[in-house]
Amino acid sequence: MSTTTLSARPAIRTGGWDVAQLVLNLLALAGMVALMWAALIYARPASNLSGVEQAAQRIFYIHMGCNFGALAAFLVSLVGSIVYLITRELDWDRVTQASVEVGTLCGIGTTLTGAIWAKPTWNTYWTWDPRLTTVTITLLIYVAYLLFRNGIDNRHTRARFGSIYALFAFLSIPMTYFSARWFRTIHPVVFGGENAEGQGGFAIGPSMGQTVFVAMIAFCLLFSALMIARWRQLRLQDRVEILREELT
Amino acid sequence: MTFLAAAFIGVWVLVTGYLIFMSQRQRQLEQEMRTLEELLAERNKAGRRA
Amino acid sequence: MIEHAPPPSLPPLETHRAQMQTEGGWGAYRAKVWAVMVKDLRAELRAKEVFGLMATFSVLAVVLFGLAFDLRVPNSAMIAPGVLWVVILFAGVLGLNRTFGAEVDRGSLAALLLAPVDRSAIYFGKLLANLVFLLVTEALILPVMLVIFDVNLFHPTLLLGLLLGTIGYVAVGTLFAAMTASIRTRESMLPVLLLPVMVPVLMAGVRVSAILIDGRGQNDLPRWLGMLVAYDAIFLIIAFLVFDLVWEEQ
Repeated sequence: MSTTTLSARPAIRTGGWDVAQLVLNLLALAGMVALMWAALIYARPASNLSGVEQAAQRIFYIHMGCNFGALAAFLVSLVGSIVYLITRELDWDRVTQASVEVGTLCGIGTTLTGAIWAKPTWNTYWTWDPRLTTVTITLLIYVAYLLFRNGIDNRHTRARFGSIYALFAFLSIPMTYFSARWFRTIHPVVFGGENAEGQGGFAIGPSMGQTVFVAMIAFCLLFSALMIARWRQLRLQDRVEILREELT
Repeated sequence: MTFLAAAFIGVWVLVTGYLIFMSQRQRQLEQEMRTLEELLAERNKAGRRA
Repeated sequence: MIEHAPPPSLPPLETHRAQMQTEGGWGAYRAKVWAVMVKDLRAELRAKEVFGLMATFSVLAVVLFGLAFDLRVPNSAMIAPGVLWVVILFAGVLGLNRTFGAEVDRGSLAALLLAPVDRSAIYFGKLLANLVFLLVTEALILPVMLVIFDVNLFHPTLLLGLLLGTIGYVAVGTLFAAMTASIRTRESMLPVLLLPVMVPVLMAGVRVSAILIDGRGQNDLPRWLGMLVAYDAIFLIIAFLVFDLVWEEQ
């Protein structure tokens, strides 16, 4: 193997997408840094809480951010699925896969932060709060999607089946959410005296509202950056696979 | 306080973990791409010579 | 555009309907649905594997739940709705796994797909067969629960809820079974895919059963039954539209 071949031509060429990705990555990083500052320093502490609960309330911003990221991811995956089924362009299926992966990440983040926040607030790690319930079920659906894809070898079948499943999954989510909402209104809250439906019962001030806004923007940017990066990687992956199949 | 730290650190671990996963995969793919392109170039050269 | 070999072109939706009209129309469609259903039922009556499996599993599950929760709950009727629906969900998977499994294994899938009729006829035929299997299994679960949990579930509205929930379950399950039939991880993949999507049915079913067992909260019944009807309608329609895509390459 001649080394001149190796250095003479770059394996990966830089182009428009690389610039866009760099900008997006920097924006996402800036957004997350801004969020850290806003959540930990800028936002006023909740006036009606104290001690551990007051500090833990700040988790709420990350929790909302992750929630928003997961929601955005899910919507993008739905678009990707439908557009793939109509156009049969594999690029759209890669959009679905990338956004499901990032969405799973955000979903895990939402559940994790939700549980960690719940413990000092309601003295239990878990509450069947409709939002938390829906995110958890959604998470299970996403993971199933990824496992499903893993078990299918043919690229086109994988894309088709994945898209069909993603479509069904998305349609079930609103129904899961409403069922969870109705479930709780007539069932007495078993754990503690707190109303698990409430937002954790802290007085919302303007700095808090702004921080939530920052959280949503930051996680939106983060989701976009991660998803685009992963999407491009999936394109490369397929290119490599096709080349490999041709040469062997 | 520990709860706050745990939550923030947890989320960052998730993001960082994914970034590590992606960069490892990227390195793998780029290496394989280089190998395959070399193979392709050699095949072309052999084809032209023949 | 990076692509492997492109898939064979698929007929747009309008051609589906045109096909239905030209190749025998509604009559032929209905006949095909019936034929598929009858074939599955007859095969089952002979072999008795699916129903035996589902029945045994259900009884076993109810007994295990009864045993596991014995003396832990003050009143066994409290957990009866949950046990009922969870057992149905898991027993159903056993039956659904075999819907297309036999065809794929024996290679008779091609013959099945050969008929000049909209492939959704196969979907409905299989759906009806699965519905029968599961309803018969439920008919067995109810008396077993009466004995083990000491709870009478033979209430018309509860049975209606059971029927609606089962319809929704087989509607989604038959489609998913078609997709998982030909992949590597077949049997284990189906419950992982199916059960999270069934959560609204689970919740609605449990609520309806609980309302009727407790005898309280009757005002909420229309809402929950409505949810089941909506679920069934939405997913039956989507499955009908999408089913053709499953075996596109054949």
